Amino acid sequence: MKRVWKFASGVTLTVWLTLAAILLLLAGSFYVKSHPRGFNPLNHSLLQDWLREWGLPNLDKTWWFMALIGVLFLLGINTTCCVLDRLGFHWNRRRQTGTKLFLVRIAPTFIHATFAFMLAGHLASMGIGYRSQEMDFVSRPGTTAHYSLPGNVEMNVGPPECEFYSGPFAGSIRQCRIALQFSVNGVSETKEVALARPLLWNGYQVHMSQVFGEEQSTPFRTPVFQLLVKRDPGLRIIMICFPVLIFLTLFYYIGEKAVGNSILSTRMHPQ
Amino acid sequence: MNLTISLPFWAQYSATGCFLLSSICYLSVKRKWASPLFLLLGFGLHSWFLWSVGNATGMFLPNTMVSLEAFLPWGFSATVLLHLLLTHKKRTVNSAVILILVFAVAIAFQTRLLASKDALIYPPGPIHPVGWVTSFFLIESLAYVTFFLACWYALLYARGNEEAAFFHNYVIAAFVLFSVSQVVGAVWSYLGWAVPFHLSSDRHFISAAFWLFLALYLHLKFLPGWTMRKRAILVFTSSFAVFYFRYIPYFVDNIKG
Repeated sequence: MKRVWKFASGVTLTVWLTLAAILLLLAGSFYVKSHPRGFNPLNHSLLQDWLREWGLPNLDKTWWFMALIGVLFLLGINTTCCVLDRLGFHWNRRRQTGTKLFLVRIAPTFIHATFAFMLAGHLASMGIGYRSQEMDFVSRPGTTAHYSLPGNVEMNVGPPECEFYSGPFAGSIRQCRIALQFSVNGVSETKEVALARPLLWNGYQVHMSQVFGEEQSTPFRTPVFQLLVKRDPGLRIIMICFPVLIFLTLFYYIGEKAVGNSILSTRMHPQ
Repeated sequence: MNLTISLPFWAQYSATGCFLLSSICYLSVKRKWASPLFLLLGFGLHSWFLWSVGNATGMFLPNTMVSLEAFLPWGFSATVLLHLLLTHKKRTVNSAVILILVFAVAIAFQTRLLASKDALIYPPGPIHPVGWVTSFFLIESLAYVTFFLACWYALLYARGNEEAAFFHNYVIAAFVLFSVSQVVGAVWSYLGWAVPFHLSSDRHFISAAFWLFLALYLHLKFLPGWTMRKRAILVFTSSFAVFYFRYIPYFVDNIKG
């Protein structure tokens, strides 16, 4: 059992799994470029739906993606084991090392825990929640449309209103907005969504996205838009963990240098 | 986008000339002292060129200054000049002028080619907001700058220059900067395309691979047998792969239009 634990929490396994993930990501970069129609829906579908519709029937193009999920899952387990192992090790020695050194030495453990949370966040983001399909919710110039969302939510989608650049980029879109009216149990609320300004409402994320096609980029012409509606519980985990990871990394490297220098000066000038 | 723009390419070429003179001075026995001065002059001229690119349309667009590869020589020279100010290992740090020259020459050709294909200036738009685009490319480019400088100093270290052991600090700086750029990029991607990681974009997969490579490097020191010299060789050899995956496909796409 001890040998299995040592293997599962070892850096050697981390290095091999990371190397495998790098090679699979690079292989994947070729596949997603060659088959954009197959991989594009993955952005706005739940993983299981995409697997059923395109992923599994096209294993010759998606094998790397399956392998990548497997490798990242194993990397998550390896990271968790490593975190628990190091946490126990440093906790038992905290009285000998002193608080400052203990905090610096424990920082990589928290960095790895944050990384494991991020992997879990990505997995949650891909597999849990709700995603609207392409062109489920459309906003056309001059018309108002009525749609239903899960959870007995009624949504009225107004026509898009656009502003255009003048000067050197005359005719290009500066910004577009759509007014949305939500009704739940007879209570109505009006909100607005704009390009690159998603609306967060009652756990829903509503994104405005331009539909590409003929006459969709004619200067000074308001195009057709679609709304991407989703519930994504993993997103919050990813977005919180990434800055935490950077902060902890900075703390570790700066702290390591500071503690290293103070240990060195204590050795040179013992009191 | 048909924009009639005129750029002071003379400034870019003169900057490249200064980097050449700086390299010659670095290699010469008697004129070593002049190398940082030519580097500083090249930095000034290249700054002028980038400033003109940012103002080329009559509207100040800082995103065009940092999103082009033309930003790299500026980033290289700024980093090396700053390091020269702070270190006593001036000779080793200054050696990077040769790397700067190689990049500056290649990028001068590339910039001209992109300009001839009308692919140099992209208009801003609602999903390419100037603030996000500028922040992302600025930090990401500086991460690549520090990484390629790490590769250069790793080469020196692998060849026996013990002073160049600071290549390791450059890799750490690249890791931190690249991590920050990925946070900024993830927020921008979420706002613009509703996803923090685009699962159908080769660019995002390549960035993830590069981030994992930097993380892999940082773990190697815990493995027995991975001496500093071996790690230096790994960092140097990886530079070719990183350069290929990060720059070549996009350059080819831009040329194809």
